[in-house]
Amino acid sequence: MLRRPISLLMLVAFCAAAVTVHADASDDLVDQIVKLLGHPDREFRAAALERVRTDAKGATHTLTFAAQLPKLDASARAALITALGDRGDTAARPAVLEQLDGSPDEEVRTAALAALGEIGTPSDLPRLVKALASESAAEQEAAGTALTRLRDPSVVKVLAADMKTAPPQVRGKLIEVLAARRATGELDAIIAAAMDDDASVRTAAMNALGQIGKPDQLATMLPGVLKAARGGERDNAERNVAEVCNRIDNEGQRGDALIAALDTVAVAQRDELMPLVGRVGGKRLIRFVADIAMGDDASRRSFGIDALSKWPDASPADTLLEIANKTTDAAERRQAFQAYVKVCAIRDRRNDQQRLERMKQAMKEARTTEEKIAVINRTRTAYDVEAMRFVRPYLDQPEFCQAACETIVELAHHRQVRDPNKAEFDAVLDQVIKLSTNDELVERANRYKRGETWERKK
Amino acid sequence: MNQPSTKRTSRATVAAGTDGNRGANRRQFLKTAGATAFGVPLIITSSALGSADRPAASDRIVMAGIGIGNMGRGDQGAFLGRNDVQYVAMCDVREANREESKARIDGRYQNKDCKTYNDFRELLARPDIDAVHVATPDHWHAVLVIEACRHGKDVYCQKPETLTLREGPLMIAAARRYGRIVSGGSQRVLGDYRHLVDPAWAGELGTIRSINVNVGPLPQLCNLPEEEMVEKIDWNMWLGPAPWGPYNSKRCSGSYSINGASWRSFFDYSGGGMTDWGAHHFGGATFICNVRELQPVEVVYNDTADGQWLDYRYPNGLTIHHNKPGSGNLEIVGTPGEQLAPKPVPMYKGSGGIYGDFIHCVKTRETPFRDIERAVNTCVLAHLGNIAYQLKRSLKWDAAAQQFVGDEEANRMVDRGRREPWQL
Amino acid sequence: MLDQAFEALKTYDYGTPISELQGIEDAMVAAHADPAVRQDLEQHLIAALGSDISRDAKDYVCRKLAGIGTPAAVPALSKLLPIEANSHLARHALERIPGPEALAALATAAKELSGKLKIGAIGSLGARGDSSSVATLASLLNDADPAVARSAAMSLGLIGGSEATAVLQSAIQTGTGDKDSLIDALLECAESLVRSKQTVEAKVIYESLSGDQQPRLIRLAATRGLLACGARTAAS
Repeated sequence: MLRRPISLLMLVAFCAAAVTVHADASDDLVDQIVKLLGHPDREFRAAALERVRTDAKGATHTLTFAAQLPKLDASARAALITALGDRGDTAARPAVLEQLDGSPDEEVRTAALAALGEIGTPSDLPRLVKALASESAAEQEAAGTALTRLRDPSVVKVLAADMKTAPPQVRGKLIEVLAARRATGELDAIIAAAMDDDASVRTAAMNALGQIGKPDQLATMLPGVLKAARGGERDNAERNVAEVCNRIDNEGQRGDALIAALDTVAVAQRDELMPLVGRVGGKRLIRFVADIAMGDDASRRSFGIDALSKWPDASPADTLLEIANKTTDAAERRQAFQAYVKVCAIRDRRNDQQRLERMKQAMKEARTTEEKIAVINRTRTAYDVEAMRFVRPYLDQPEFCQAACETIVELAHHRQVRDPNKAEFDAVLDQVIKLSTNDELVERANRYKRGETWERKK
Repeated sequence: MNQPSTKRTSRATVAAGTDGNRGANRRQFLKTAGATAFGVPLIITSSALGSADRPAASDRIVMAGIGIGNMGRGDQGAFLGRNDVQYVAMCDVREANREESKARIDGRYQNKDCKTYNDFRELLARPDIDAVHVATPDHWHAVLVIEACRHGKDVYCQKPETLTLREGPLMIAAARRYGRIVSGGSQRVLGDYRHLVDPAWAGELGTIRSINVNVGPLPQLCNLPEEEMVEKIDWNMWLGPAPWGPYNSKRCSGSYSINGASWRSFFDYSGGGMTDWGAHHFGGATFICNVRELQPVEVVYNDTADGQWLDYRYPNGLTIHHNKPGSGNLEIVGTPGEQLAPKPVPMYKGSGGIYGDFIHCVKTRETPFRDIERAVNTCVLAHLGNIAYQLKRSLKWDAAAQQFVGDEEANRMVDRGRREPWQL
Repeated sequence: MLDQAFEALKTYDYGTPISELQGIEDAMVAAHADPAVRQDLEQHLIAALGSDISRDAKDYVCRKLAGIGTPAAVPALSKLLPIEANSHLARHALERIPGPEALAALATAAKELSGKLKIGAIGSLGARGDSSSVATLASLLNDADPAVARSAAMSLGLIGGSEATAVLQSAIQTGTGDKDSLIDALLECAESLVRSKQTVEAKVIYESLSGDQQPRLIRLAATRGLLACGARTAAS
């Protein structure tokens, strides 16, 4: 009976001793770290900051580290704030807020905003949302990152509510944050924002839908596409809705889902959405679009051909060729054949040899000089020496010579095509140098002969 | 790594700095330049002083590149395009690459200042260089990364970062020893697989039970016959620590082939498709499943009627399949109906993708997205797989000891002898 | 199948289809579960190594002995160490064959060879990581060839442990050998001490390298090491 109390006593004493040793060792480490935090050399400081991130756990030590902040210059202070954020101990939050509110240095404020993403609380949301409109781009970005990272179940609801009332610039950023947080519970609000009067908000909303939109809400996204201004904004909206469609793995179901969504749109507006159908692609939709492209209504046929020209792979090639060959309308023939050549040349999953075979077939189908030039031009997408051999004879025909020069130089641009066939490419590049009327092409040909690269102008 | 001809000089010559290596080196470099100007006043150009969108010379990261072939050119272009980088030198064992690279770099800065080297040791000995990017064939990576760290350089190393299992811990140790920023070079891990990473980290997939990676093939032994050397290449340096072999253009081609037409295909220089694309796909899989900090404990070799494939078992219960029949690349089996607590997704820091992430970390000394330790953990999967397929059996892996458990033959494959005089 | 492959090996050279050696590849896999197959394969390989086969074929044989070789293969492999064309892959095999015989062969080569081949053998001793090589490597720290001295220091770093540490500390104090490599190796030793929780010993090393007289990079490494010691102590 006596043994147990004695043993317990001994155990308690042992533990106390162990804790003391442990605490001493921990204190020693903290001392080491603190001494280095103010070191004039950033790499020595970094050594200490690594330990702030991962070692000497506990709020007491966190407070010791945070207490160093006022003693440091701006750069060292910012680095320590970042490290305290990574440490993840909310004990550092008051010190970080003090720096955010009191520091004149952008670097420090930016670090403080970012750190709130790790150690902040929902009460910091107003501060962070306000910083989204900061004059400093760095602070805006840090606030956005912090809002994305801040972990609390209430955050999404607060941000979604703010999104409805904030100025447009902030609304767009809040939508970005909601998307990054994959706030799928707020999709209705985001879909509504896709109809906003402000283009930047609409674009942010469509981007968000591209990231987290659900296929069963496709129909509700189409008005956003139609609302988008033609050009870049419309293209972007189409791409994002296509992204949502592509989340349906089964090609047939994907097509059916889009067709069902299109059925909810007025017929007059449906044709405007044909490019979107093209971007989604797939056999099911080829049939759908081909019916329009080959139908009786000439004005709708043009929309259909345009949609087929945007297909992500070469699968509508035969359909387009059929349209081109059947039509008696010269303009339609032109549109369909150009689209046919475009999809034949697209860099999809086919290999370069298969692509080249398609181009050879296209050349056989070409009727006019313009059509043949289109084929020569697009052959540049078959990265194979055989493509150069196919185009080379056209150097001898004046009407095709310049197009052939350009395609040969484009093929030579690819080192993996050029290098294993250097002698042959050197010879054909010599021909280009003689024949081309384009100074830039001549310069490029000379560079490739010398084994040099050429930077494509942006 | 041993250096029979060139003594390391950087440590002896770098003075005690007050603001990291960079400031001290730059000041010393400018001072030296001024002192040797024979009384001609030192002209400080507007470029040196910087502008609104271009930091002053003393705040730029001074960089150089080693191995400027196909991938190296791309990396070089990315760093050259940055206003906060001053690219001053490059090294390649091919004369044509040196000439082309110099023209490109000098063209960028409108001067003739870029220095070119055949021997990386001379480049690493320069105290003014802060960081290097490495894009040599894989058999050079470990030697170069470790030696660069020993010279106080930060490193961006193309993937696959390692050729053997043993190299990884030594590279990590060198980086940590000297406090270097060492980033691996797979831009695809975050760039290509984000659509899978986001829902996985958001907890939408529930507990991920498995993910499949389709990649290959295995590396093959190269015994290509000797060819006439039509290019100007320092063949001994190209081979470096790899076994001697006669010159053959396919042996040393940097093309992206992994089927016998490039060094990427061959065992002495690469882990084949398993490491070449595996560095991306396995990297993506481990990122999606949040096991970048871990290594598997077992690799199970399956030999079935449908072919051979692997299961990598992780200590947390996750299985990464390799080439599982009927499974798509990065096909995930989660837990339907289970919503896990979301976690914020780690992202690149700074601006400019993985290159910007590296430069940001060079400046701030934070940990890059593909820190060398994570890169090594990714490559481990490819190496374990190559060994299991070669031995045609399952293996247990002790990550702490970096050894196979109870398989002496497998343990012989953890590393390779390096051709003299190279060592790690 | 195996005999056929060894027959093919007689004429194997650069350019020969590697498939002709498939019988050997199959035997390598089968050897794991069957000691008789392994012994037979090894005997075939040893015999081939002593025959008049091409460099490529010898390289191939060495690669295979690296996988399944035993002390029985050491004499045949050792003969190749002084031959420039074969030394590397012979070392590759000897680095992997367990037992004192292979280690002794590498140590002898490290002592007796010169130039690059000597450096190769020293590197292999480091790669084996056996503390019984420390004395051999210590004697090479003051070699007249600075590349040899550097290589010896690096190998001592890889071996680590208290014996290698003492040798490196002594060399640094007496100014023997290549200082940069000695310090790098000593830092490597200190890291292994930290890993094995011998932080008091590691701290002594780091403190000896943290003085103002040291180059910045070494002071940085020493500072990092001291922090690692502190963290390790606090965590334990």
